[in-house]
Amino acid sequence: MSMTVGRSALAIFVVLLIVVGVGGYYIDPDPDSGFDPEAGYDDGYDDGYDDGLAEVPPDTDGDGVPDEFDACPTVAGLPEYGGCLKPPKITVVSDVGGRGDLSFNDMAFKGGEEAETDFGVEMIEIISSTEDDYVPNLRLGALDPDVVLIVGVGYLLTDAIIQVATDFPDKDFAVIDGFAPGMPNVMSILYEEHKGSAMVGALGALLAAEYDYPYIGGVFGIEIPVLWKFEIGYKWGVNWAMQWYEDTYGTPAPGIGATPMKERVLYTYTGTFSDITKGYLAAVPMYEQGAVAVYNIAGPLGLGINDAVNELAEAQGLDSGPPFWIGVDANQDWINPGFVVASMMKRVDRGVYLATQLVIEGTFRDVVEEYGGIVVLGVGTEVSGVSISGISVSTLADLDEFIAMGARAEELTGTTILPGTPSEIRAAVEAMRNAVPDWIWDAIDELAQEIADGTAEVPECSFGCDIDSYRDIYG
Amino acid sequence: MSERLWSTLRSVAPPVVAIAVGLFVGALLMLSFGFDPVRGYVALFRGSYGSPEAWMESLAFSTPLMVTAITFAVGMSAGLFNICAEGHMYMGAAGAIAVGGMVSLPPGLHLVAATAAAMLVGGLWALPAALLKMWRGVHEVVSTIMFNWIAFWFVLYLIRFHITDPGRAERATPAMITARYPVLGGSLTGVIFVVIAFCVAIYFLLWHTGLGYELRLAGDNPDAARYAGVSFRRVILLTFLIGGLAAGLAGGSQILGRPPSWTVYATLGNLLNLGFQGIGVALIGRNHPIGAIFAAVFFGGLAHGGRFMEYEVGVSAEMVGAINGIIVIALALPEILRIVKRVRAVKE
Amino acid sequence: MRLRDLVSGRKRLYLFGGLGLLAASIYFLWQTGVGSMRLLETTLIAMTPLTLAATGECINEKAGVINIGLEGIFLIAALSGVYWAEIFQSGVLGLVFGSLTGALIGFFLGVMSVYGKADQIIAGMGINLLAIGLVPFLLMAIWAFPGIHIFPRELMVPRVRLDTPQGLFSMSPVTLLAIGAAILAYVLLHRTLLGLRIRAVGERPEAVDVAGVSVARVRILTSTLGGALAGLGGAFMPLGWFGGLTKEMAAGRGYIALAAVVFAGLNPLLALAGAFLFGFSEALAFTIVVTPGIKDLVPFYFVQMTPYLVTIVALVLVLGGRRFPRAIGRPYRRE
Repeated sequence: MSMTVGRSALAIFVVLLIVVGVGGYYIDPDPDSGFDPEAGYDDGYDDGYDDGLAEVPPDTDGDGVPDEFDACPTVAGLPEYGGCLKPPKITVVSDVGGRGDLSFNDMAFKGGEEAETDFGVEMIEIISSTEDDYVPNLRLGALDPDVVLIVGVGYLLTDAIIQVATDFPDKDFAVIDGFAPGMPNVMSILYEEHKGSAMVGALGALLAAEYDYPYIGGVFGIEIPVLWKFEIGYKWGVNWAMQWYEDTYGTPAPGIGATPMKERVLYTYTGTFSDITKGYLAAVPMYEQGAVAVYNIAGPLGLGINDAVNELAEAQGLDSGPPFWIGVDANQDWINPGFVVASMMKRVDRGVYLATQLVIEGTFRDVVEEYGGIVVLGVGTEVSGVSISGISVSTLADLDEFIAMGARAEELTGTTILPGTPSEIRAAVEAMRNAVPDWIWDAIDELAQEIADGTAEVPECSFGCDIDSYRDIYG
Repeated sequence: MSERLWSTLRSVAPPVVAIAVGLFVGALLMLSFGFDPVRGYVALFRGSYGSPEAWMESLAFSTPLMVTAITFAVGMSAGLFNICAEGHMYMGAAGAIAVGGMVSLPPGLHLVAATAAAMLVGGLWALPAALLKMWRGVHEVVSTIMFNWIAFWFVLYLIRFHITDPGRAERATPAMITARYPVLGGSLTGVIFVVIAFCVAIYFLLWHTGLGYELRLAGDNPDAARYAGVSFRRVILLTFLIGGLAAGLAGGSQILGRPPSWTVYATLGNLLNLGFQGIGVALIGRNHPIGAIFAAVFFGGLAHGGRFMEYEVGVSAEMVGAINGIIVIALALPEILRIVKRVRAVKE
Repeated sequence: MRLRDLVSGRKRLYLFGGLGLLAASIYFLWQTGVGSMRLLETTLIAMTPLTLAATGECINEKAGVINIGLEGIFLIAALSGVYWAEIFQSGVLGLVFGSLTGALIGFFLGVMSVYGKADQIIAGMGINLLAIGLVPFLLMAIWAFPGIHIFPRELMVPRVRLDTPQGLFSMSPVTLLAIGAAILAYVLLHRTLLGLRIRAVGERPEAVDVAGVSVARVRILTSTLGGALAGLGGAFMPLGWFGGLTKEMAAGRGYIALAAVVFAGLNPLLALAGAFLFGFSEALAFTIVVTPGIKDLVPFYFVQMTPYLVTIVALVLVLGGRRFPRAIGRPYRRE
């Protein structure tokens, strides 16, 4: 009896395995994928593996160019890349997190998508799930012969980029926020976050003065030197604003002005760039203690901050701040119109786009050599004579571009992300901006001007900086 | 067929069946979301074992798993559910950094000292749970889960305040050049030899010494062990100590033997879950130290090959984690073993 | 068990000592301005998933089935809850389906441990490992985004708001449900025939079997119930608390719920108290870390460590000798 049971169980299992194996082989779940089991398996690589395909590609119109490359993209004004047999690829390797943060990573992919349209390249996204994945993921891109540029998105990938770039001297690499000077094939793209953070810090502090709040807040991600630039810039901005208020009106600012200098900014490093729940948990006590606005310096954690604001808004029946939050990287004003007072835009997209453009134009290594490997994008910066701004505070004019980013995210996920129609969002953001008194916006413009012409010097605390000495001053 | 071959086959059969079940459920998952499982698995296994470079990376991923598996396997041999590898590993990593990154020693000696420190700190961290078990009868699953989390927050605290890399708050001080294992290629370093040697040493300890016999007897047949006068307290202490040393070595291997960072991040991201994955590895390796080596190579291959599946087919690389889970669940069922036994009976 | 037995002898000393210490520390926090209405609100929310899972686990373990897969159930149920909430456009239905998902996993675990004679701890770890891989895979496969999914805010389960002299106080109805579940579970276990059977199945399955009660059915029932409660807790996290779903959402809360169960020695009422304590320390951690002056005194990391330390201390002082059901974790085999 038991023998029969055992035998039949095994028989059923074997049959199941065979059925699924064969079925899996012959049922093509995606008819567009071109997967044809009869013809063999083409993995798209010319890597010496026998995939069962004839080596001579078909050429029906007889123009000497294989069919699959007839539609080879040509870019006006640019030399054909490598004879343009295949569209060149760029790989964008993101840190833990990846798409969907509506800020840092999404901005990188946005830049890659724009490069796809303009230069005919194909972007491949690779998302790391742990720190151990950086090297193999970068290597994965480097091993693909069609890949011309590998972009590492995030400071934490720096060491991995240096290692892989040494192993693959023929490939070009770019690392956003990384610091890898002196390598011929690595472009480190840095931003002047301290300047932008100073502007939103001043904005937050003046809002606190206007609405009589004692604090402003900041939710930070993993404590990396790049974030120190944000932190010190932000705190410096608060103090600039307090000084400006006193100079202009002759009295200390109300609300936040009465708070001791070192305690004006409630902040914490959450140790994550992906767990939005930490953003929520950190933001709740900040608002509770009287922060007028919380600055999001942790990518997707802004969505957690947004939840905390929404909860307050629902409880108090508000349809516009205060309380506010301040967006980062992208223009995040559209995420919750009326409650995101402004965003510190860090144009990661322009960095990725620039690197791709230089590779396609063939000037990548010249530019790397010219700048010693470090390209800085910031307020009024230029690269090889072309001006590229990398840092700014969001304005109404930027909004449409980023509402489109939300629409794109909706398309990808198939769920609602935009909080209303584009025109509704625009109207709500405009109404909120008008509700904030003009003198505040004027003060921010004044600071922007001072930063641009160099009268105001925002301290930059980055790699190897003694952060504690700054914290002794600013809290 | 010879009895010896049969007994080997019999012990290998359940993991093989469990792996088949895991891959099968994984294939169903892929099919149900419109991915092609054949392409997926071809990409996965070609990516993990298809070339020498792939082997290097896969072995690098499997190195820490071999020793975290030992922690669980030795525990199981003695009849204890020692799931504390996670916490010991964190502590071991901190120990490796304390000596490998903060103390200057001559080359050679430095490497030995840093490795020993990793193992020792891991071993020390095993003491509280062992003592709780010995004197208060606290179940080890409960206490080790608590100690894992205490270690997690404690090591984060250490990284922030005591073993910090000045100027780079996101990580601890990296191991100095003198405390790094030589790179063999890719991410693979010489630490794998130390790890394998450790596994073999544990094999000899368990199967060829009196102490190991006592330990196994306590696990296989507690009543017989009691009659034979085996000291259970000694067995518990020994088991936890070996577990701690092994997991400490795993933590050390991620610091002293893993380019390019040679350190631990303030998220513990390069350590997280390696201890728990070790449980699966140990189970597939039939709780045998040598079996753990082979099982770890399989798991390491999955961990590395997953990215190729994502690159070529679009299946999220983390799917291999789900396959691991299914394999472990399947291995929890002793009925699998029974089916295999019946098949053998049928054959004869 | 009577209430008096609960607090007798040395245990009473520790219990009241602990409660006194807790009260003193809360008073201190209030005085320093950290404590507030919002802290209580956050505590109540943070304790909800813990209470639900811990209550289920108490019933579970009383019947002799140990489920250490709570973390995995949290994650999978959270994902399932959001998925079904979007399908039905209703957060409440999302909670129901999340709970059903948890029940399914619990049922599965029960069947495996009863009929498959599975090793429950390994199976539970398997569920945790499965969730670590399955949830990111499904996030990617269903919503095409790695690691995060944000759903429309209308799907959140609404909170109840009360006007109090100290200001507006909001609370999720699920919190009340969780507290009710803990009390009901206590009544069920100690005041009903079914409860008697459950406890007997955990202590002397062979006696219950002889008396004509099916050990298998009782264990599968409790395991399913335990899974359903944990699943409700899991679905509550995105739908009643965070407003979004991430792959690291559970963040060790499943293990804290286990700690609460051990802390309580399988008594649902004490588990409720434990969950409150742990919820409080979670709410407190971020309050401390952002408050100037206090954050320099107490490193955040030690606050995060508190629940686990408390459990260890409780194990050492009070519960070490506490007897767990005799047949816990062991499949019942008819001799």
